[in-house]
Amino acid sequence: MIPTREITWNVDLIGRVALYALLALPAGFLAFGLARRARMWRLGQPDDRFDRLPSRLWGALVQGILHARIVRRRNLYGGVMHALVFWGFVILFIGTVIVMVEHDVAVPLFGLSFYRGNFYLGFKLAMNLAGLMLIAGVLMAFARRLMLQPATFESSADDLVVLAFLLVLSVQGFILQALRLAVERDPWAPWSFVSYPMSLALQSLPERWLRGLHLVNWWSHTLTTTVFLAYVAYSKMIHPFTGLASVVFRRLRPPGRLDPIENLEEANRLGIAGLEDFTWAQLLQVDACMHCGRCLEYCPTFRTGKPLRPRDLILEVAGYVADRGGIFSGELGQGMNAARFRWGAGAERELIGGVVSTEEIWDCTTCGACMEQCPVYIEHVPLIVGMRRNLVLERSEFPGELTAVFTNLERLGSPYQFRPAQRADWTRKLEHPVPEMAEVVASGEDVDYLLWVGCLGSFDGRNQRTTIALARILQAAGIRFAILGREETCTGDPARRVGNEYLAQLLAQQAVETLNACQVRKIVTTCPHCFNAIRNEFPQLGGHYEVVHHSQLISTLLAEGRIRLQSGSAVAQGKVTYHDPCYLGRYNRVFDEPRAALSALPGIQLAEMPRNRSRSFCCGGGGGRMFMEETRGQRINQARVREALETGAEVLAAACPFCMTMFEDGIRGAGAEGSLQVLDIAELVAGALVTPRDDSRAAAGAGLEPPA
Amino acid sequence: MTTLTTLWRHITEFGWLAIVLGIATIVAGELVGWGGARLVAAALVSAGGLALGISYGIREPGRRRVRGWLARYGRALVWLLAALITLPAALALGAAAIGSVVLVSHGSIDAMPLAGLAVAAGMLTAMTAVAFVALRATRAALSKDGARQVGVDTWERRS
Ligand code: SF4
Ligand code: SF4
Repeated sequence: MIPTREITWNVDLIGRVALYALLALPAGFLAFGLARRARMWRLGQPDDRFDRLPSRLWGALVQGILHARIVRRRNLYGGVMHALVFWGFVILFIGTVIVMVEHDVAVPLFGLSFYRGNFYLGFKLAMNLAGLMLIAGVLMAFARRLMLQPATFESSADDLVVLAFLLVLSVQGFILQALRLAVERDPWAPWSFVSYPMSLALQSLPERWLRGLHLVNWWSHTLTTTVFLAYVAYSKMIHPFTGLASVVFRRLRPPGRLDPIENLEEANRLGIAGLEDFTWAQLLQVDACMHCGRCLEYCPTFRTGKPLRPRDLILEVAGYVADRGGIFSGELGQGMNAARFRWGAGAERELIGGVVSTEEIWDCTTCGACMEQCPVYIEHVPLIVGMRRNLVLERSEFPGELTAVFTNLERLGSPYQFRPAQRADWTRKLEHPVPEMAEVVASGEDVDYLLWVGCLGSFDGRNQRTTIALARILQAAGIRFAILGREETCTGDPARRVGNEYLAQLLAQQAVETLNACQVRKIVTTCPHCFNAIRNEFPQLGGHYEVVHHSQLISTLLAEGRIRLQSGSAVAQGKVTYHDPCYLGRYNRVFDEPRAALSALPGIQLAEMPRNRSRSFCCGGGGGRMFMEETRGQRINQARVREALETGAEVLAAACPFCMTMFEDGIRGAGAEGSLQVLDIAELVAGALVTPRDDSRAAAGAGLEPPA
Repeated sequence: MTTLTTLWRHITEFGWLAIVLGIATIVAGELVGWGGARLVAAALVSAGGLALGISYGIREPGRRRVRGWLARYGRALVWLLAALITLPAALALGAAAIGSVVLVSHGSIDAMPLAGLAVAAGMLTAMTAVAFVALRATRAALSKDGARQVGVDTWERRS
């Protein structure tokens, strides 16, 4: 006997006809839902996301199908759960297609049957395994939603209905198999290892009962499949389609680059305030959100109890565009996704203020932790900045603290009330002078690097110490460098992140003109915000430079032996923990060099905080937040300081002037002045630097000539 | 605009026609025992469903009626579907338990059927629990009456 089975066993004529006639329902409902969505996406503004197609498809395979962003060590439970559900479902779906091909194509058209023998046995094994995987995954999901209840979770009726459907479908599959086996008593039944034991329990019942039960269950299974597939486009189950599309059309441009408003002077609408202001890719993205809450895991505003929760913000916008765009979503009402209607209900709600609160819009530090985690590559920051743009440029509504910042940027080229002439004052504290670029150009000389000092590094007393330390390191290494001095202006980063695109473009343009006029090629800076703007945003304005962060240059100088360190540092010993600045780490993937520089310090032991590298926790100062009062929830900087304290470190190593300022403040706020100090990497290295003076002292002690 | 409307009308007509033809094909095929009819029927019916779905989906949204209908009959529909979907499975899983009792009464039960009983009991528990939780959540969602309040037909009023 060859192992196989009769497809549509025990199914009568009406059943066999219904099986095909009912196909119209899921096909129709799915097409309707997708067409409605496509219609809505087409209402969006143009956005070129069709470039580099191979990378896009490869990303979809790795991220979407292979779950690279879903199965992560830090969220293993959720990742494994999703993989079980996804792969269980996919294998069962493929199995169904295989059966259809055998039954509807291979046998009737070609007289060929492959659904037999070893293939059949392997198939049965795989299907039983897949069914078990699906059930296990669904039960894990239920346990997570109802018992474990992580803080990042919120369950809607839709989530639970979809899960229930998946579980019932696989249970029904096993039941049908067991009932057939109980009647047919296949000798190869043990290959169906889940249904087989059940079939043995059923065998003692009369065959008539078993056949009757099988038929009733077959109809029930057919109905369940039809209803479930018809429901897909109106439920969370649409995410395999929209999610995959969102991954394919993800942003391939550098994540730290915000797209400018083109033709700012002539633009009719500025920023995002309604359905027609979103790009089609943004409409697709918000529609693709699967409520997983991964974006909340490292979000500083969520973790410190502020109104902004990135998942909820996306769901609010998704609800709004679904209503305005005429798609069916969340039809079971408000209870479907409570998050969508957090700020009230009603069709006529305005996007800003009615659907998304202004508190949410202004709370964001633009740290990018949400975008880094989102499995379907939703871009929260451009959305938030888009709404800020509308508030600032069209409505002139922004936090009062920003008024002074805008005025200073406009008048003085810096957020602070310092004159441009004071920009180079810090150089007076150095033993050796630092030339200005204008002089260098005039003298026809050349430099290795332009040191882009940044506003905080120029004017703020605390951050000037970092600048001075870096200058000393560069001088010790024999690097020829110059500064722009009074010619330097803000890069426009703070203005851009708070939505003042007009001012941002003005400042960036001015900076690019200055740099081009000085024929600058290589830049080193201590500020990750300047680093990000110069690297990723200046090219939009014709400024193309090779820019390095000072931590990168220092680690290279150490590796090349161009600077040497003495065993006892003047500034720190013992445990040091490093904080990854968002605009250096997450946005520009500089993770290793700062650590390499710190690890080279004698007597220093690097202790990592739990949230590090791409999962670093923001200091609270980005996105213009450093200039605004933090009135809601706990203080972000203090939360991070507490995390640093828990490592037992005495030094919190920074690599960003914004972080430096936030942590100085956070340490005071947390009352940790006696136990933790914040120092920049440059300060730590400069504190252990072997200077020519040290060399001559050592040489004199040894009776040698100092090196030339 | 008129050309487009005519095109969509034709697509709709094609959709209905394909479905009717598909059903006729499968009925005839099953009656005369021609297996090839299954593929033709599946293709026709699916294509018909897709055509109808797209042609209605792309048109002006008419959500008011659907939402009103859902608000009125949604709960009854949910209960009916829940019963049709879960009761037959529960019955079969219960039958496995009865089968085990019969085996026990005949003194012929061994480890495997007992394992079967355990599997059936596990599945019955899991299915009942998730169905209960999902139904409770759906009832709560529907009782908030959001379908009529939230964002109803703004698009239609604007267009
Ligand atoms: S960018 Fe940062 S602060 Fe803003 S929503 Fe995302 S994680 Fe939260
Ligand atoms: S935005 Fe992304 S990470 Fe956040 S809930 Fe939606 S899909 Fe998940």
